[in-house]
Amino acid sequence: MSPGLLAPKISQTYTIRESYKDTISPTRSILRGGNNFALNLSITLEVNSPSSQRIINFLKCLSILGYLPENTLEKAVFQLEKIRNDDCQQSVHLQSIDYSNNKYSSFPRIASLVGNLEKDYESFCSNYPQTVETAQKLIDLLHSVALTNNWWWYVPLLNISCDNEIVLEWWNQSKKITIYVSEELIDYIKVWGADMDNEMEDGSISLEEDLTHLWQWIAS
Amino acid sequence: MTQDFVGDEEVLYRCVFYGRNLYQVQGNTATISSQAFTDREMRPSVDRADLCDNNAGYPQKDEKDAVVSLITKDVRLIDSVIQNNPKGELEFTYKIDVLPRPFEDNQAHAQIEPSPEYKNKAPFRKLLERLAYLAKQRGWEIEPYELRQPTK
Repeated sequence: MSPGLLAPKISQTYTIRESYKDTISPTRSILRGGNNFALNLSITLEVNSPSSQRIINFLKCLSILGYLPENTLEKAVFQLEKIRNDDCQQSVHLQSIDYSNNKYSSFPRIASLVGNLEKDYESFCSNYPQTVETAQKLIDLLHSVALTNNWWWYVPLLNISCDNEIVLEWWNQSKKITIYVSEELIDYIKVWGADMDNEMEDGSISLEEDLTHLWQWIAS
Repeated sequence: MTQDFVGDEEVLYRCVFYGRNLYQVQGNTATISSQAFTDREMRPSVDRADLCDNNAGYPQKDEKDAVVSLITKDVRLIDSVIQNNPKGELEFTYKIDVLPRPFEDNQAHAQIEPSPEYKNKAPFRKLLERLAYLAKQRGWEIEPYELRQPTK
């Protein structure tokens, strides 16, 4: 069973308002009013369109990251399947969503990615499910190590880098770990000072190896 | 008038955008993320305090944005950023500098640039950590919006 993760403290509320046609290109850029991102995910697709799988992948990413309310992914998949089976052109509409309870509070960066969907969508949908799942598994593994050893734990700050890597950051007093997750690689940087040669250490890890030492370092 | 050299003692401002997960708020403190300094071209932008009347609000795009600062000499890491080859042997060192890159509408603009160009992401990622560490040591010039809220 996946260990439970603490909900982050979120002070903003995000909603989504955006439209996509069957090519899934955005019809207008993300609306930003004040500090509320808004995206209405309205999807129209043709029968048996290959884009439907990409839509599912996209929604899966949002779901894994905790941006979709419970059962939303299942409902969307059901509707998409229904469209296929009915052999007609229809739309799938997801309600505006309150993002105040998202799991990792990374929605702003996701939103900026979504804002560039026309450019990044193919890459996002083909590569991102794996990246997101890897990040999720990594967080679960590290959390499991912390629980097993009764060590310090905190929800990571989560971002998306310019290269679409998922960036996880943890701080514990004078120590910090940053982890970059991409489709094929998981890189880490340990930081305990500003000296890049003598107070930082970088390397790569995999989900298959024992991560106890990595977490012990920041937890101790 | 824009000078063509950024002095070692010059203060540099960096805008930390609100709502982009660029800091972690815990209680009444906020810790800046290394991603607050990231840049697609691996040349983070800053604004020179001397050229914007030492106004920390100058780099803000929105009043809710936070602002941090750095000292130029702390950013300049002459011969201290190492590029190793795959065997872990020293290949060469980067020189990190702060160079004036004025825009028509922002004469204070400067960039933190390497020489030579980064061969891979590793040294730039470490630089991001260093910049965040240095900024954290100096404290916020303008606190994150979440910390400005009056407590009830």
